[in-house]
Amino acid sequence: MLCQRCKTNMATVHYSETVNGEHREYYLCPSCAAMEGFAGDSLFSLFSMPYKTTQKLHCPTCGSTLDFYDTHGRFACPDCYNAFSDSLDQMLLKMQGADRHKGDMSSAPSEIDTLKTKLKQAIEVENFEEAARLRDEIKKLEGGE
Amino acid sequence: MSWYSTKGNKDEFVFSTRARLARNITGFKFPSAMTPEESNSVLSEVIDALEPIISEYEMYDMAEITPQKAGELTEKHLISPNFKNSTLKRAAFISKDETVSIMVNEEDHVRIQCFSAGLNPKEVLDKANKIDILLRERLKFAFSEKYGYLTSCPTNCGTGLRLSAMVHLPALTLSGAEGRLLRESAKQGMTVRGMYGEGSKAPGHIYQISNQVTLGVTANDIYEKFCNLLQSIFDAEQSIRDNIKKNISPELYDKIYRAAACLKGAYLMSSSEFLSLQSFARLGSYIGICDIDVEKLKKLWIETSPCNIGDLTPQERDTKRAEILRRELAS
Repeated sequence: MLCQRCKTNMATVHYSETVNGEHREYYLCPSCAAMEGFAGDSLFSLFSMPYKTTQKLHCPTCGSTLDFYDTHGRFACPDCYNAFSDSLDQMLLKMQGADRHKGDMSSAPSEIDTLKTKLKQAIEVENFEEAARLRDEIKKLEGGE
Repeated sequence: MSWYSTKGNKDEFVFSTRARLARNITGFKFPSAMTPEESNSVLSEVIDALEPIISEYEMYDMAEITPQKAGELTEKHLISPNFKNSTLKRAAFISKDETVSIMVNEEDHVRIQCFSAGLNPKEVLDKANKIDILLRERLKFAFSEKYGYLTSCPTNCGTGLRLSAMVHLPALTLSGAEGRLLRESAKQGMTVRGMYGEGSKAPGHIYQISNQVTLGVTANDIYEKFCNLLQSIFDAEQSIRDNIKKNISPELYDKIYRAAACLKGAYLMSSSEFLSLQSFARLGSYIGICDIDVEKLKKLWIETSPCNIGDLTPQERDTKRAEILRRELAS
């Protein structure tokens, strides 16, 4: 993909943001990105801001981004709900008038299952300190050391 | 005798009631993102989980059934339109009496659907819950305390429950109160659609009314709202039918008489003409101005729908449909 600004070089810097539920994406080459900088409401009005690279939000389990939802109108996996919860909550309030389940909890995961999911996510994002803490907690609950 | 031709509660307004639960298995992507291999694994897990009751069901593998058979199942609402058209491994488990259909790898991994003739939300809900309980003892469903059951589309998350009724509202429609019906339903968190779900039209004054909201409400909340809304719709429909009965216009009289005569005596009959005529004939029967067997009409609606009537050319279908109607309704 070519840089959206110079339309000459390859775009290697990818920036995405969600403001008031509106999702935007920018693709720039490193020199345009470094020269102009970007963040905030409008790409071009903020070109004087310092250079900033933002990691696009993705689901730690399936790797999909919100683009998948925008294209298909569906999520790619159950863990996308947690990964995109900030955008999702606003969407659910509009769509369903609520952002929280009520009633039947018979399929709720056990405490150990929840910790195991968190452990997996901590390892994905290389937060090893948190991963070690979670591992110890799981061991304790499982009756280990 | 199939369930759709049996007598049901509030038959004068309702053809059928359906409860649908959407569920997904943890550890797998949703069908929207899964590979054919993953969909095969999901199907194997569901087959294993259904083991205690599988003898009560017939499995229809979408890769193996003919388009004709898929059409028949769609017309009976046992599978959704286009369910067959996918690269994923898809199957439907349908009970022998056709009151239960479990679709695997549709929009969600598992969709449990239970049907009943007439208005019977309690029965269909209880039946769907029983299957859900069996499956969740044997499968680990994707669930979060915050969002409830996690479904491919967030419009279904929370309870994953869609309770719907196929209703016949000729008087409300003819009086132009359709818009009011839509607005009132939306206010109560319910939605009104055509017969075959989202985006489909409502020929024959037939509508599908279902809960729109699945999150932030319990299954019981949905059940109560559904019953209350339907009751208020039926009251409105009945009151307009009563008015029509008292002050029927010659034009409507004529439409009803012509409908009954055509159903009993046509040589060619398309399915859309049948739907339109059955609506006027049913209305005429319920307001007591024409004598037509509404139970038979209900049965014939499914039996003469384009795929269920047989693998024929359009003209052969229309000829056969008219022939069946003449034979069945003449007596």
